[in-house]
Amino acid sequence: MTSEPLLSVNSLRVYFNTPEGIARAVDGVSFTVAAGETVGLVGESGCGKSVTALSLLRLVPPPGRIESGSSIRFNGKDLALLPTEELRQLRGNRLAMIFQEPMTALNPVLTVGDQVAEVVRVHTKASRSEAWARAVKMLAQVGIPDPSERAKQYPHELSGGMRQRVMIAMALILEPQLVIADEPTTALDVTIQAQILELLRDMRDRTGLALLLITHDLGVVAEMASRVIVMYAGEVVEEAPVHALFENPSHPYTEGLLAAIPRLGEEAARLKTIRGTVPPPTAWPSGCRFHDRCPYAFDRCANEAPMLLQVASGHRARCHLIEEPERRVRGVEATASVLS
Amino acid sequence: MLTLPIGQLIRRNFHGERHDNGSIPLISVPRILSRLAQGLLVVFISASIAFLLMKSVKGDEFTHLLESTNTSATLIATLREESGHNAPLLTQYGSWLSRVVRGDLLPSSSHPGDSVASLIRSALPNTLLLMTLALVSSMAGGIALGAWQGVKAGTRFDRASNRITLSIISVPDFWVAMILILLFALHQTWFPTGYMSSNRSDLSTWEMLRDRLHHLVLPWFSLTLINAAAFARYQRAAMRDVASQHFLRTARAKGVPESIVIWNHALRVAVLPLVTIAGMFFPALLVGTILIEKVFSWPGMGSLLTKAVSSRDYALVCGIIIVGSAMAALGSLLADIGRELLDPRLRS
Amino acid sequence: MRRPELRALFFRRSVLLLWGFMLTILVAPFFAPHDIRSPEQVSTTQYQPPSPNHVMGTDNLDVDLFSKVLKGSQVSLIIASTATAITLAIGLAYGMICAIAGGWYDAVLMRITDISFSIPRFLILLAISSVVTEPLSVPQLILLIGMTGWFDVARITRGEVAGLLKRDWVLAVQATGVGHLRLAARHIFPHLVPILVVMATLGIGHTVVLEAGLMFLGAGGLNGSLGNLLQDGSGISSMTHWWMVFFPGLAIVLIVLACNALGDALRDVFAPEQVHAWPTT
Repeated sequence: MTSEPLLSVNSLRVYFNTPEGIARAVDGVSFTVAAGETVGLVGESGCGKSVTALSLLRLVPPPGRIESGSSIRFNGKDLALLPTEELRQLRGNRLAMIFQEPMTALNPVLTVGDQVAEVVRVHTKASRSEAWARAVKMLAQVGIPDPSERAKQYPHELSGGMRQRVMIAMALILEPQLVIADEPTTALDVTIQAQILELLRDMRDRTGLALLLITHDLGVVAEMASRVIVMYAGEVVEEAPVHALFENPSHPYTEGLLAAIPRLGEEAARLKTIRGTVPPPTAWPSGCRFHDRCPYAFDRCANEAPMLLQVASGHRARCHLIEEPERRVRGVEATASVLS
Repeated sequence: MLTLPIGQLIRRNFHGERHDNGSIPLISVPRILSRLAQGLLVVFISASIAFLLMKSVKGDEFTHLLESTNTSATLIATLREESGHNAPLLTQYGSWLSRVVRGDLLPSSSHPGDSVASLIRSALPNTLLLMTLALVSSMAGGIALGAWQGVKAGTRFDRASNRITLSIISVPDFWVAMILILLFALHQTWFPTGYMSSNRSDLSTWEMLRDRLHHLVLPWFSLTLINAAAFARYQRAAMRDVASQHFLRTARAKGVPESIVIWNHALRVAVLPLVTIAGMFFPALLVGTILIEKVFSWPGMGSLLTKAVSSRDYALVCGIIIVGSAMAALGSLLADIGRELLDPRLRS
Repeated sequence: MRRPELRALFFRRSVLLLWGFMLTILVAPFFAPHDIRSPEQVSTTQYQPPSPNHVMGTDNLDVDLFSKVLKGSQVSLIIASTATAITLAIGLAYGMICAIAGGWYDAVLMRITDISFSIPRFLILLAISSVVTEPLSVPQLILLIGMTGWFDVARITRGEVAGLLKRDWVLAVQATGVGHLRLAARHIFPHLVPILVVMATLGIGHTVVLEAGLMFLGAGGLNGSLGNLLQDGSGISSMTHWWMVFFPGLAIVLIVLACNALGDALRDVFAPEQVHAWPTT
C-alpha cells in the first residue's frame, strides 16, 4: 500500500487576468486527502474554495489559469500537467464532482437518464441500453422513487432535491475514488439538505470513496468531515481534525466563524460578526491577509505574513499568535462588536 | 430581401437581461393554438386589406380591363355581376372572403383566360422550391459558421469572420444576384442568365435534371449567401450565451470529450432560438425570393407579382398578397412547432 | 463625450466611413462633375464605360453616372432617415404607452402589434403602389414606409420600459406623485436613448434596402433614388453596361455597411457583451 495520499495538492496557485488586475484567487494552497477520508474545505464566499475545487479537475474558466509551480497529485500523477485526453479519462471516472446549483448544472434539453447514462457511455464500452439500465439502477440507489419513469423526465420536471440526487448519481455511478462536492446542499431547503447529506454519507460508506466537501456551513462539516481545512483570502489559514477545530480553534478567523454560529438557548442581543468584509482577490492585504479584520492584530501582523505553524499533531494555523500566544488580547475596536 | 426586423438584431436588453423573442402568452391557451389563430388572423387581415385596396381603385377593379386588354364589355359586365358589384360594401366583403376561402379568386386581367388561382398554383411550386432550398442551406451554413465562431470566441478568426458577415448582410440580395449574373453568366458563360430550364424537349431525363440544377445554382446562391450570414450572426450570439452555462462544465466534469460537449450539449441548446428566428425570417425570405425571381426571370410568384404590378392586375396582386401572408404565417407556425418539439421546457 | 468608450468609438473605421460618406453626399450636388439635369449631348455617345472623365460611366442619355449616384444616395438617405424617424416616433410612443398602461391594454395593444408585424410589409407596400393611379411620390413613399415599420420598435420599447418600470427607483419617482407624462418624458426616456440610437442607425440601413427593393420592382415613381438607378440598370443583358448595375448597388452597400457597422459599434458601447472564451482544456 502506497504511503502517498490519494490527493496531494501543493502550492496551488490559480490566477485570473482581469481588467482590474491579476486576481490571485488561490494563492499557494496545499493539502492532502487520503483514500476514504472526508475532508471539509470551509470559508466564506470569495476565499477561493470553489476555484480550488474546480482546479482539481482543471475546470477553471478562462481567464483563470493554474499557474506553473502548482502541483495536483492524484494517484501518483500530476493533474496539472496531464495531457487533456488522459485527464478527460479520469474525470467522472476516478475523480468526480458534484456542483452547487443542480438546476443550472444539468442540461435542460436532455433527459435525466441520458445525462447519467452519458457518464457510462463515455468511459466504458457499454451499449445505449446497458448504460441506460445502469443509470436507472443508480437513480434508484440515490433514492429517486420510480426511477425508470423518472429517468425519462427532464431536469425542469424534477424538484431541487431530486435534481441534486441526479447529480450525485452522475458523479458516483462509476465509483470514483475521490468525489469533490462543491456546496452540494446550499441551494436546497433545510429538510432536503439533511436527506442529501445522509445520501452522501451512505454512498461514502458503501463505496469507501474519499470526499472533499466544500461548504461555508460549519454544521455540515461537523456532521460529515473527519478533517477540516479553513481557507481565507486564497490561502489555507487552518487545518485540523474536526474535533480539534471545534474545541481549539487556533486562527482568529476560525474563531470568528465559530462564534458567528447562533446557538439556541444562548442569550444574545446581537449576533457576533467578523467585522469588515472579504477583500477583493486583486488586492490582498499586506502581511497577514486577515489583519484588518482580526480582533487580536498587532504590529507584526500588518508587516509580516505568517507561515502555517504547528499547533498540535495534525493541527496547523497561519497566525503569529501561535508563536506569541501572550498577544492574544483583543484590541479596543474589536470589543464593540462582541457582547461581553 | 433582407428587411430583417430591427428588433431581432437587438437581442440584448440594454440593462443586461435577455429579450423575450416570443409574444406575450395568452393565459391558459396552448401555444400552438394561439399561434394558429394568430396566423389565420394575419391572413384574414391581409385579405381584408386586399379587398380595401381593390375597392379603392378609381372606377373599379375592372375598369382597366377595358383599356388594357381586349376583354369584351359583356364579359366585364358579367364579372361585375359575379363580384356583386352593386351590392352594399359589406356584402361584397363577405362574398370576397368566401371566395378567398374557397380559393376562387377573380380572373386575372394580365393573363386573359387564366384565373388568378390557377396562375398562382402553377407559380407557387417554383417559388417554394427556391425558398426551401435556400432556407435549408442558409440555416445549415449559418449554424455551422456561427457555432464555429462561438467556439473560437475572442480569436482573430471570430473577429474577422464577424466583420465579414456584417459586410455580407449589408448587401441587397438582388444586387448580388445581378452581379453574379454579370460575372458568371455574361462575362463567363458558366451559368445561364435566367429561367428555370432551357425548355428543350430533346433532353433525356438525366440531362433535364442537370439542366434544372444548372439553372438553380445562381438564384439559390444569391439567396443563400446573405441569409446564411444573418443566421451565422444569430448563432454566434447564441453560442456565446451558451458558453457560460454551467451544464457545459458539468459535462466536462463527467469526462465528456470536448467535441461532444460542443455538439451534443452546447449546440443542442444554442440552436433553439434559431428555430424561432427562422420562423421570423420567412417574410424576409419570401421577399428576397420575389426580388431574385425578377432578376433571374424565374417563373415563380415573384415574376408573377412584378408583371401584375406593372400591368395593374389588381386581382393577381391581391391574390399574391394573400398567398404570401399565408406562407409567412405558415412558416412562423412551423417554426413554433419545431421549437416546441425540440425544447422540452416548452412542452409542459 | 460622456464615456471613454464613446470617444474611442469615433476613431473606428466604420464611423469614419459613415461620416465621410455623409459629408460627400451632402456636399455632392455642388461638386458633381456634371450637371445631371442637362445631358451634354443627346444620344450620340451613350453608355460610356468608366473613364477619367466619367468615373462611373454614363447612362443611355449620356448623363454622368457618378453624379446620378451621388444624387441618388442623397435621395435614398433622405427617404430612409425621414421614414426611420417616423417609425421611431410612432413606435416609441406606442411602446411607452403600452408599458405604462400595463395590464389588459398592454396585452391587447401588443397583440395587435404582433399581428401587424406578421403581415408582410413589402407585399402590402407593393400592393398599395400598384393600386394608386400615379406613381408614389417621395413624401408618399416616406409616409407609407414610416407608418408600416414601427411594430418591432414598439415591441422593443415596450420591453425596455416594462423592465425599467420594475426598478425601485421608478417606484420612488412615482411615489413623489409625478404624472405619467412627466414620468415618461423626464425619467424614462433618457434611458431609452441608447437603444433608440442603435435602432435609428440600423433602421436607416434597412430602409435604404427596403426602398431600393420597392423601386426595383417599380413601386415608386421616378425619383432618382439608388433603387431607381438599379431598376434602370436591370434591363441589361450583356457585359457592356455593367457599371449601371455595379455602382448604384455599391453605393447602397456602402451606406448600409456604414449604418450596420455604426449600429453594431454603438450597441457594443452601450451594452457590451461579455466574452466567455471557450475553455481549451
